[in-house]
Formats: sequence, structure tokens, C-alpha cells
Amino acid sequence: MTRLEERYRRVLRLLPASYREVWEEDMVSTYLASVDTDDRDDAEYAAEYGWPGWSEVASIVALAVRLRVGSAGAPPRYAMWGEAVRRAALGAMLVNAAASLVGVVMMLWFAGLIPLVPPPPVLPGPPGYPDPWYRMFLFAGLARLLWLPAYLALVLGYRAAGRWLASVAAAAAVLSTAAAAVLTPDPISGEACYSLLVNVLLVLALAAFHRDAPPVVRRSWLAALGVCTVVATGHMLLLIPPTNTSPPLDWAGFCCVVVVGAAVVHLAARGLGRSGRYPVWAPALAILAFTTLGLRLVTLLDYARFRPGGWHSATVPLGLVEAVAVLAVAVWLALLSARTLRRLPATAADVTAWSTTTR
Amino acid sequence: MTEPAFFVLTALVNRPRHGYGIVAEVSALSEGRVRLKVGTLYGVLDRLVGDGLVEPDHDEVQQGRLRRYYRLTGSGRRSLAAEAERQAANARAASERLRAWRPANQGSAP
Repeated sequence: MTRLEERYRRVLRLLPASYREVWEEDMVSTYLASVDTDDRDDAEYAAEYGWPGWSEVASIVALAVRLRVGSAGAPPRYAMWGEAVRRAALGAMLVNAAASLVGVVMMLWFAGLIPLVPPPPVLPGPPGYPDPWYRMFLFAGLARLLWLPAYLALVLGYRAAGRWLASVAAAAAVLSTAAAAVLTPDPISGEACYSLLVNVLLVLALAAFHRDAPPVVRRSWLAALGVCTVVATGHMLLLIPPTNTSPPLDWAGFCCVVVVGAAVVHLAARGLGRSGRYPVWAPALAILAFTTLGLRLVTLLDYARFRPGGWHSATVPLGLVEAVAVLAVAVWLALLSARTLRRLPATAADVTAWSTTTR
Repeated sequence: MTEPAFFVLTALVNRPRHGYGIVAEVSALSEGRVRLKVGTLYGVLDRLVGDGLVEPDHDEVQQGRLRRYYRLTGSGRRSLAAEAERQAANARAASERLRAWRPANQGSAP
């Protein structure tokens, strides 16, 4: 095996193993034939020192992404995985969109613009940054509100617009956090950094909303936005002055409860045999559960790092229980997902045989 | 049907071909406009085999390397014929419109 072949096979490792089992030898043969030349010296030089070109590598990367996020005609295993990524991304977008909506409600409340509801007695003041920077942070805060139109755009089928809006919202958060890290003496919390990471991954995951992806079920996701906003508003109201006593369930704990609740409902539905032919919610919830577990652990580390804080005395012990509960459902869902995914064909060429055996 | 899939099916009409043979034939058919990369070719082939439009024909060993040949199935031939007819109808419609169209100032003195 030449060095060039070794390098090309290394690129092919981007493809799913089951796909490589079927196509790898043929792909290598075709690639080597395409770079072959009649000049013996050139051929020997390329075999020893040549690298696959960027366009060849890009075609393999595109194929790997297409296979893993289930574009049109993708084998059932990757079609299901792609749908799971889309649902998990929509779930995370839903949380961001609801937080945006809550932010708008809170801004109106602070400004005394909600009829019949008096503003809170203590208005939050500027955090002590120089004035231009404070204005920048306000602007970044407004940019984060873009998660709401981004979510609505995705749900209503304007996918390119949804991706762009989400990218701007994530970029604004990254810039404002980076500026805060440089300009203020306050240390940046692990929760803030983790949120940035999740949002950047979320924007990348929106690639799963490609043109071949099936449309989103609008009514369900719009209803979910309403429910999520009401629940999140209720939770936020508990954190606002004048009560000013943090509830035992912090934001990460709230997310843990939601994810564990959703997982229990899904697992109960599976027990009743109502999970459908492709139980796609299992991998979607597994992704969300592991993401939430990360948030829970990071916030617990923050509590240890920034002690003493203004949190409720029960928050940390409760947080440990929440972490264990989320870990348990995450592992359970991951095992269920792996079992289901393994049963589904991973190459289009396998689908015919699979269809025959499952008919 | 995507353009690469259309050309891959067309390349296999007259005889079975191996991967590189398809790449070369597609390039010739499109007069060099479509140059399939290996990742693109096998993404298309995987779909076409899965849809029953193409199937493996035979294997050959050349310079110590296995070459798999692919051929068009009856279903693939019918799909290609239908797609070719659809594209020809589109092209006819466009050509007729273009022939009928005359700029408002055509023929007038400059």
C-alpha cells in the first residue's frame, strides 16, 4: 500500500464504518485510477508524497455529513439519526426562543409597559461597565433575542433565514462574552462558556435542516413554544426582586426536570407500544439529556468555584440528585437508541434486504 | 433526479463500467463540465443501487486491484428515459418561447 493510498483511506474514515464495508475498496480503486499518470516518475512521486486534493476531501466530507444527517434517499439508520439531530436542535432552539420571549416580557415589565402589572420596585442598574461597553452589552442582549425569529423561521419552513438568524445570535453571544472576559474584572462563569459552546454546536447542527429534510410539524412546535414560555416565565418570576431569594431549583435544575420528565413520558410511551416504527425521540432526547447533564455539572462546578454565592442552600444537594437522574435517563436513552439504530440498515444497498426481512 | 445521477445513468446505458470508467464517461458526456469527485460518485451510486436503478455486474482484478463494474437495470433504463423525456420537453418549451420572443425595438433603426 502506497503512502497516498494510506492517506486516502484515512480520509475515508470520516464515513460510517458500515458504509465503508460496502464501498471502501471500490472508492480507493477509483480514486487511485483517477490520479494515475503515464509518467512513471510522476506516478512514483505522487504515490509517496501525494495527498488527496481538497476537492476530493470535500466530496468525502459532504458525503459523510449527508449520510449522517439523513438527506433524501439516506438509509434508514442515518435518516433516523438526521431526524433525531433535527429534533434535538429544535428542542434546544425552543429553549433559546422561549428565553428570548421571556426576556422581551421582562424588559417590558421593567419598563412598566405591561398594563395592570406594576414594574418591580428595584430596577436593575448598569453593571458598572464604561458607558460605551454597557451599550454594547445591551446590543448583544438584543441580538440574543434573535433566537425567537430564528426558531419561528425554522418551524415555518424558512430554513436559510433560521440558520442565519441563529448564527448572528450565537456570534453576538460569543462577542459579548469575549468582551466581558477582556474588559471586566469579573470571572466568566463556566455556565456562560458552556452555553456558548452549546449554541455554536447548535448552529452547526442546523445543517441537518437541509433541503431534503421533511417539514417540521408546525402546530406542535408552536404550541411547545407557548407552553415553554409560560413555564419559563413562571420560573424567572421566582428569581426577580423584591423576593430576591433564589429558588432551590436553578435554571440548570429546571432544565434537568424538563428533560427527565420528557424522557419518562417517552419511555412510558415505549412501554405502552406507542413509540411508532422509528422511535426517533430516544436519540433526540439522549442528545438533549447529555447536553443538560453537561450544563448541570458545569453549574455545580461554578457553585464550588464562586462560593459563597446568593443561591438557595438546597440548590447544590438538589443539583447532585438532578445530575444523577439526568445521567441515568441519558444512559438509558443512549442504549435504547444504539439498539434501535443498529437494527436499521446503514447503506442504501442493504435496504432491499432489510425491507424483505421486515415485511 | 440530480444532474450527477442523470449522467451516471447515461454513462451506463451502452455497457457496464467501473467507478473510474463512469467518472471518465461522465466527463466526456458533459464535455468536461461535470467532473465527478469520488465522494460524489459513490454517494450517487449508493442511492442508485438502493433504488434498484443500478446493480453490480462483475468484478475484475487489474494491477492487483479489484474493480467492480456496474450496469443499468431495466428500472434504471425506464427512469432515465422518463427523465430525458422530461428534460427534452422542458428544453423544447424554453426554445419555443425564445424563438417567439422579439425585443420591442428589434428591427428599428438605431
